[in-house]
Formats: sequence, structure tokens, C-alpha cells
Amino acid sequence: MAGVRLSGVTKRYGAGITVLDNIDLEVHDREFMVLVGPSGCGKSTVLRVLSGLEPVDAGEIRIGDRVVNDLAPRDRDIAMVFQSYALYPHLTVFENIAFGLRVRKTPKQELARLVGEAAEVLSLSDKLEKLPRHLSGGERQRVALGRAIVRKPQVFLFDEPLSNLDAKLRVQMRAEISALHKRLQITTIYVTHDQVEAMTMGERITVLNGGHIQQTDEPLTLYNTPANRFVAEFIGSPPMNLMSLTKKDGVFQYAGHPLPFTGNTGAAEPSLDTVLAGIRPEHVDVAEGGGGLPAQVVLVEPMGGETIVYLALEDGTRLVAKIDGMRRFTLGETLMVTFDHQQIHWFDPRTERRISL
Amino acid sequence: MAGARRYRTAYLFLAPAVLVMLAVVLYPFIYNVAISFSNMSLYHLRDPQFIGLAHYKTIFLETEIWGIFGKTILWTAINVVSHLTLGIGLALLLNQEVRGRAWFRALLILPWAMPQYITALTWKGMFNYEYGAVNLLLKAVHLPAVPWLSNETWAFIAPIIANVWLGFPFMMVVALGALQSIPKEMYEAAQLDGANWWYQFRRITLPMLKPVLGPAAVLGTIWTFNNLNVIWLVTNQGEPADKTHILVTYVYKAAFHYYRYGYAAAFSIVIFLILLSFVVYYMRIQKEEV
Repeated sequence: MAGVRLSGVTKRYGAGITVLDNIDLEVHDREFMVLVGPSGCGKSTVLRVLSGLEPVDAGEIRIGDRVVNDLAPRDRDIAMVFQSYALYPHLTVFENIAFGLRVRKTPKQELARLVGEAAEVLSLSDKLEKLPRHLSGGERQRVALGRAIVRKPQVFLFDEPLSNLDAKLRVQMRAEISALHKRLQITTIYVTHDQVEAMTMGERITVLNGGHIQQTDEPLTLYNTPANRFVAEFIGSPPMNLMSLTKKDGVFQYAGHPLPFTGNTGAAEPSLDTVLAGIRPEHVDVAEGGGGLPAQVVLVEPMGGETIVYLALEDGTRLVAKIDGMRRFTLGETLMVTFDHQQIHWFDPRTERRISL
Repeated sequence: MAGARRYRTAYLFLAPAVLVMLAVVLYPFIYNVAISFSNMSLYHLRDPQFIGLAHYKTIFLETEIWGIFGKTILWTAINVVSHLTLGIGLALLLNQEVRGRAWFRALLILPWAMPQYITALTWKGMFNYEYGAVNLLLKAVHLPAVPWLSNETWAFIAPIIANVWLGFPFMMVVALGALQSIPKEMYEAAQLDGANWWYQFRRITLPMLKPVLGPAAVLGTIWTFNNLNVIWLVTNQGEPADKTHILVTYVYKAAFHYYRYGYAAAFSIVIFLILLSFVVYYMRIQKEEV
């Protein structure tokens, strides 16, 4: 087993495109680390440089106590599960799982035992003689997992392995991969663009954007104290509401409505005339009367247990509220919006970093 | 009837093609079968008589035929194997990220793009003993000149060289297409598993080329087996002394030089049956694999 450390890793493609810009990342031994971010943020590139499929332009990569920058992929003792599974269509499930063992000239009996064990863990024992094209999506995914676990590598890399599965299977495989990690205790780096996957699977999550690490933290820390506007908006579904507030008469106000919350005196950030207030949808409430900001209901998404209500404030600003599923709403009706004032996140509009008021 | 009415427009569109096929494929085929049982020749052009299986019997009893048959198999095997090896090899090179790849690809397809008879006649000129480019090159590197077209063995090797030149681009194009459809991740997964180039080639590339190259090789076999132009033109109609014939050139000479129409028709049927059994055998293997 081994931890992984990237120090100052930079990767460029061609002349001007920097995909990873001076990345520092530490993944602890046996940890399940999720890398999450939008398309093109560089998360898959982290896996590719870590596995040795791509060289780095600068920086150091360590697996355990070895610097692996100059090692070939085969010598890094890493296994990777690809988004497309990369199964060999002409080989049976057995041969697909055994591929890496055969390359390493594992004795026949040992090979059969190891493949058997992996198949057992992944409930593939009765599929070993089948070709990949005769398997369902979930089974193919498990064969790809089998090929990774059979070698007992030091590090597992997963590159969006669930993207090709339907929603139900994705939930099931999510749980299976987590359970597999708990059982095998192998350091895992898991790349996804799906923040629900990230939140449910990761022991820690690293949010990437534009080749930079935005924040690395445990899921709930990331959710409750996002380091900047990007993380705040990226983590959480529906995303966090952001409102621009302007300082007037010593307090921050929204369109002439002073938002009453602790510390809204403007004293904490005297240099700021405007701030961004971030409010998660579950911290927005609506009522038919009383105080608050008037807003019109523009879209209602009843989910059963909860209802997502899309609202438009007087100046057109959109807000999303997550409301108890029992309540009914009518399109076009005007409601009064209030916020849980203990749960507002503040961001400096210039740096987009988190501030406290 | 309702069906016929419903598809009338479709049948109308198909009709010209069907008529042409009937006229240029089915009719000659049936006519060929019919005259193979007759003594049609220059002497009996207008009054051919039914002679049953006499020609077929002659064909199987002629000792020289087995030599020609053996030569045809050799010709086909050497050509197809060379086409495949060269084609795959060049496709592997062209599949790399090399500068000027598009140019190389265009240049390598050129032999295929030229009309076959022009290439064959060009090679014939190049194999000329005294003035041909090949012997001039050999002389330049102090090697003895080769009697390309006057010695029985060399006169068989010469058209093979010309036909390898003509045939590899097809296999190269097919192999390149197949190579480009193999997902990159398969090689990356193999790299992580520790597979070297040769292992990847044997265990990934070749098996994944098989579904495409298999049918291409079957086509290549049929084309080469039936390739009249190259042998006919390069060896000057089977010279020296009719020693360089393969089955089709032999049949062609029998029909159009010696006017033995019935005999040549029977021989064509034999060739057809040989190729048909080859294709049936291939299809059976394919079916078993699926």
C-alpha cells in the first residue's frame, strides 16, 4: 500500500495549453480520493500523468516513497479502470481479467486462483467463459474492475467509470466500488464530473477547475465551507444561489432590502462595497405572506420527498428553493422569500474567495 | 399480388440492374456450363456436339495441369501473404504520429491507383535483361544480371514481384482503417498491465484486425487466384514455353489462342468450383468462430 503525492505538477499540451498548473495534491495511504470538476478541468490528466501514460512538464510524482516521474507505466504498480472499460472484445472474461497476470508470466495455477478470487468478489464466477459483448453494462464494468483488482496494485485509478451506465446501475455500482475499497483498502483516486458521485464515494474530494486545485476537503466540509465561488456553485444540487449585495447605510442590502443576518454591519470588510451572498436551496424558504423578498414562481419540480421551486425576484434574479414535498405551488404566484441567516456564505466578488462578515 | 403492387416502384427501380446482371453474369455463366459439355472449337464453332464429361476427364488426366494447379496455389499464397504482411506493416507505420503522414499514405496508395495493365507492362520493361531498370540496378551494385523473363523460375518470380507491388496498398488501406478503429485505451490498459509492443501486437492488434482482414484476405485470394493481367503481360503470355502459367492464363490461352472453347469452358467451371469450395470453407470457419 502507498500514498500518492504530486508536487508542483504541470502538464502542457502543445505550445500554449496548460492543462495542469502547478498542482500539489496528497492522497493518503488507503484513502479514497475523488477528483471532481467540469469537463476539461484536468482531472483525467492527473490520472494520466500519475499512471505514466503522459509525461509531466514539471513537478514531482511520488507513489509511496518512490519518485516515479521516469518510471514506465508497468513499473508504477498502478491499475486503472477506463471510462470505456477498455475490455478486449476477442477475449473471454477470464482472459480479460488474466491479461495483466499473463503479461507478468504468473504460473498457471496461481493465475487461475487469482482470477477465480477476483471473479468471486465481483460475482462474475459464472461469466468467466463469456465474451464481453454477451455481458450487460454493469457486468462489463465489473470485468474492468476485476482486471484492476486481480494484480493487487498499490494504487487504483478510476477514470469516470460509471458514465456509461444507466442511472439505477450507477447508484448500484457506486455502492459496490465503495464496498470494494473498504474490503481491499487500496489507495484509490477516482475521477468524476458528477458531484453526487463525489460526495457519496469520496473520503476526501479535490475540486479542480482550469488546471488548478480549488479545494481539497472531506465532503461535508466542502459542502459547508466552500473555499470559493466555484466550489460553492459546483458542489450541491441544485447549485447554491448567489446574490450580489450592495452596502447602503452601513449594511449590505439586496435591491433596497436589508438582509438581516448576524454581523451585517459592514464593519468586518470595510473595504468592500459589494459582496456575494451564497444561499443553498435548502436554506431558502417561501411563505404566502409576511416579510421577505417578493418572488414569482417560474418552475416547479416535484421530486416526491421534496420540491424544487425556481423563483424570479423583482429584478429578474433567479433563486432555487428546496421545499418540503408536501407543499403545493402554482406557477406565477408571488411568494415571500426568506433565508436561514445562519447559513449564508460570503464571497468577495473580486477574488471570488470565501470571506466572513 | 398486393405485395407486387405495393412494391411496384421498387421493382421498377431494380429492373435495369437485374436485367444487366442477367445479361452479363447469369447468361454467360449458363452458356459457359452448356458449352463445357460440347466440343465447341474453331472447327465446331457452328455445329458443336454434346460430348458429356469428356473435357472434364481430359482436364483431370492431363499431368501438366497438376503442375499448373500447384503453381497457382504457390502464386496465390506468396502474393496474399506478402500483401498482408506488407500491408499490415506499412499500416502500423502509417498509424504512428509521423510528420508527412498524409503524403506517405497518398504515395503508398499510388501503385493501386494506377491501371493494372500499365503497371504490369512497366514492370515487364523493368525486367528486360539488357535495358531493364532492375538489372541495371543490380549491375550498379556489382551483382550479376538476372534472366528475369527467359528463365522458368525467374519468369515466375518476376510477375510475383509486380503483383506484390500492385496488391499491398489494398491491404494497407484496409488494415489502416481497422487499426484506427481500435480504441487507444486498449493499448493504454495493456501498457499499465506491463505488455510490451510485441505482446500488444500479438494479443490486441492482430486479433482485432482479424474480423476486417479475414474477408479482405479472402477477396485477395480470389482476385490473385484469378489474376490474368499480371502473369499474362509480364511473362508475355506464359513464356518461356508456357512454363509460367497459372490456371486462368492457361484457360485464357486455350480459349483465345487455341480456340478450344468447350475445353476452356469446362476448365473455367473447375476453377469456379475450386474457388467456391474455398469460400464455403471460409464461411463455415467464420460461422464456427461466431
